[in-house]
Amino acid sequence: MPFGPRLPLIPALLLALAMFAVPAALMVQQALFDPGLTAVHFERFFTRSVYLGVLQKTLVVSAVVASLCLLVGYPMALYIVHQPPRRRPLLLFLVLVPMWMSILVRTYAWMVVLGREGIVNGALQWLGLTAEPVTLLFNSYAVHLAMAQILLPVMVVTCYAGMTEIDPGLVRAARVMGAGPLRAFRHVFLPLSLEGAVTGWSVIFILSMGFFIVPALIGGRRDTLLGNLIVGQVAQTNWGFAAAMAIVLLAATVALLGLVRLVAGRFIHSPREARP
Amino acid sequence: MTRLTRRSLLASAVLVPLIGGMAAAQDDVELVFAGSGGGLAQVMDAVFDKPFEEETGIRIKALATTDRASAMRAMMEAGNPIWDVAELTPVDYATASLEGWLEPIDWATVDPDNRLPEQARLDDAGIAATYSTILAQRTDKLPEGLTMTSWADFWDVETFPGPRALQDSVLDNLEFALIADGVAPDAVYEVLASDEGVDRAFAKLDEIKPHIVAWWTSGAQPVQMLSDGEVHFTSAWNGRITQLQAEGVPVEAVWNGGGLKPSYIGVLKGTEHKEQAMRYVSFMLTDPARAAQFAKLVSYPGMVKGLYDHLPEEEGRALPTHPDNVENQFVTDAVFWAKNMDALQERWEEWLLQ
Amino acid sequence: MSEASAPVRFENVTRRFGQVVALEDFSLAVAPGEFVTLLGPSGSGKTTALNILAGFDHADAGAVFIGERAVGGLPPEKRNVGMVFQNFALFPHMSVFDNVAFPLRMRGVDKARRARRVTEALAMVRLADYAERRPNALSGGQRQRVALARAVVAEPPVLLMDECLSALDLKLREELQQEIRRLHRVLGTTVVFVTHDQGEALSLSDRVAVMESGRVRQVDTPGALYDRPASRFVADFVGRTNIVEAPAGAPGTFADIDLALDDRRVRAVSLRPEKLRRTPRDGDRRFEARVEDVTFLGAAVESRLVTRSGAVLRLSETRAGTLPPPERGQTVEIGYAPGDAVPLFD
Repeated sequence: MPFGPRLPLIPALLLALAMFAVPAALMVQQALFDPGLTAVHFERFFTRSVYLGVLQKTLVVSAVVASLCLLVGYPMALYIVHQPPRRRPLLLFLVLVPMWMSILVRTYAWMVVLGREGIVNGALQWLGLTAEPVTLLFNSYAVHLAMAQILLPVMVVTCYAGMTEIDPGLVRAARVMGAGPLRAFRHVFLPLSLEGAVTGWSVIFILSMGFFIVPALIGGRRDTLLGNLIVGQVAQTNWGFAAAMAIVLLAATVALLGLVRLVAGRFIHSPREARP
Repeated sequence: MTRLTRRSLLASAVLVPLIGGMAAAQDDVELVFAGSGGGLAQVMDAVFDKPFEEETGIRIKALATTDRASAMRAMMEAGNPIWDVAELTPVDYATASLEGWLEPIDWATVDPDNRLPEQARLDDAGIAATYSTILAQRTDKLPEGLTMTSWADFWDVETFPGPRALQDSVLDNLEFALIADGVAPDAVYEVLASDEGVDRAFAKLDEIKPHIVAWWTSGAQPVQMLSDGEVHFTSAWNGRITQLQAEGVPVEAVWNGGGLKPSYIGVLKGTEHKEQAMRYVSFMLTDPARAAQFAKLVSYPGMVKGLYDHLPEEEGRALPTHPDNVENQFVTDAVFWAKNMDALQERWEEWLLQ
Repeated sequence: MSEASAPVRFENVTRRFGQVVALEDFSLAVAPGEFVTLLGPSGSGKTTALNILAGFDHADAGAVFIGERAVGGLPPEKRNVGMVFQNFALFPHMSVFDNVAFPLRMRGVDKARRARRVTEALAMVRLADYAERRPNALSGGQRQRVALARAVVAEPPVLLMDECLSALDLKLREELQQEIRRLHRVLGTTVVFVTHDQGEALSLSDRVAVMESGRVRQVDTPGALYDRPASRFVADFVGRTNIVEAPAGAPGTFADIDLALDDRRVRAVSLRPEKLRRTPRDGDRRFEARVEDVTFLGAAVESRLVTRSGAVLRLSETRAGTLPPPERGQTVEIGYAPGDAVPLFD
């Protein structure tokens, strides 16, 4: 009866098949047949420096955004997990509220903040730090900042979930064995919370790889990501090439995450191990 | 009392809706129109769709769509068009026409009184409206006593300092660059036909590149950036600038060197409602009074003869096809772009990243 | 390092959580090398006392001393105590070796000495071959032995144990009790042990402090605690006993069991079931009772007796005795030494 308990999974399986497996197969078909079997789309991608450059840029931006989120989100999660249990839901709620707004709205909000006549420029001029408005938009900094802000809640929640798995008794044990608060954190809490942190980093990396609205609206001319190129090629009905780029994007994401797992895997330990 | 058998019950259950359906067939047709949604759809609903339903009983279901060429390719590959009538940009139209996705139009029945000029009557589409990509400027940010009047002025960063924007699109920008470089608007496609002409356009674009702070990707962006003061000069679509003026933002359009683009209406090949779709096309394109009403509301005038007779002079002047404005614009060559878009866009991406 | 053992002293410690008084005026002195158990039901304050001693919690009033030093202001890492936790609290990301080495590392012991002492500590708990394993590859008993080794490896003068056997099954628990007794004998460390299991407390400790509702009810050796409980609570909580009540109007008189005490304050007496016998000796108090029920318990047989007035007493007899077990419905004569009836005043 190994099949019995899995019966309720059939709807999910069908959905995954219809919504993921079939489109993915169609995408591969689009990329490889035009109409006969051809490598022309991949050849175009890998022989033109423009596309390789955008791929590299996409990887770098995604990694930097994920790292920024980690830098800000991990301490936030740490703070929340050390609050009294009754206050935590409220803090998590506050972290999640921005996610109710669409990415588009939040990107426009950044335009209001960073614009020439925006809040930051207003403050700078009021303080007399600058006479003329400074251009803060349409560059890589703005893209990184907005993407990190948009994706930050994902990091906080993932890190938080990992941290709640850690038995607080372990930190106490470390303390009573002679470790000060910092050393107890470094030797016990940090290694055990790494799994959540790496998961959060990976999720944000994956999400960033597909971003195109933020770079399109507040990026400069060099801030084109692979997602933007794919959107452009779809609009021009160059589906074969768009599909090829989407496959490259997917492959690059999987490859980099594999690398991260390989490197980080040696340091990651599940806090769920060794429960009595 | 009548005895009801199971069979008679079944029969009536099957037949009644069938008969009813047949009687109502003519009235019950619903045409699916793929438009661009938003404010434009509301205006179309008031000016065309509602009166059309009153006159013919045919309902129009307007969809807000983007990437219409992609969607049409998907429908044609699936062999099942879910749209009946579509609004098409020049490149959409060129693609659809070259691929054979549109029904031929019998102009003798659609426009029996010859109200449309010849250039608005294509084999498989009609020109429903026109818009222009023009140069827009914040008049309050101009140097004292000066006004931009041409793309050459846009390129002149000494005389007209200030942040600028252009669209992230090779289409239009090559034309603007050549006009700024002294090419006459009606000669741009002759120059672009050669590789040297394209090189000349990119070389001219090199000059302005460092001064462009933003490369916009959607029509709302230049409007927003102008109104926020994020940029002082940008290319933009004319209707949006009219709206911005109406909101009291000090902006002005420069028609000189604008890229006039028709918006086409076509009927999708394989539609089940071809006859009704043609009636809708006729209704939309051939009535000058209604076309004037539409142009008044959205600034995208059609080409039907006599349109400007129905508009006050001042409102007419704000429109791209007004005799005063149309003269120094170029008409975007849809076929040129349908053929060259891929290669030029790729070069554009490369150029932009350098 | 430091001395092998140190005294521990609580002086009038009080701790409140909001309205709840967890510890009230708690005083206890533990001699160097002594094994003292805090015994009590949950909520009696024993864990609070241990947490205050370890530095995880603070006293609202009173003082705590380790050695001669008041430790109230010291964080846990500065108190130089070892601790064993109920859920073992082994670091899942470290090998057994690294777990045991942790206190030495934190104390800055060099690598070579560290390795030697970890090996010794693991040998002491008979886990020398398990050094490279991860805690999740060990059984519950092995895990707790690792935790023991980790707690003593730095030779702290005081060892704290918090319900450290209650996660284990009976057999393992008895095994580890022996292990702990042996370790205490070998190391001579002062031990403060917390448990709610009175059997564990009696078998391990030099002295036991029985706690109830944040207060110490009695501190004594296991034998004294068992033989001379000072209160109804202690008599009942430590071991099994019969409590015989004096009638409301006549304190000190226990007609049912042929006992009359001069002290008029005596409200009840405690009589251990094994102190009753069906073969009264000279000088015994005697009374008659009916056998209601007989229960076979392996080494012993327990009978439920009902006196004339209806009071219920339990009688426990080893099966090594010469008499056959009583029969249900039989009336028997019971005797006991008058000194075994412990007067209770509350």
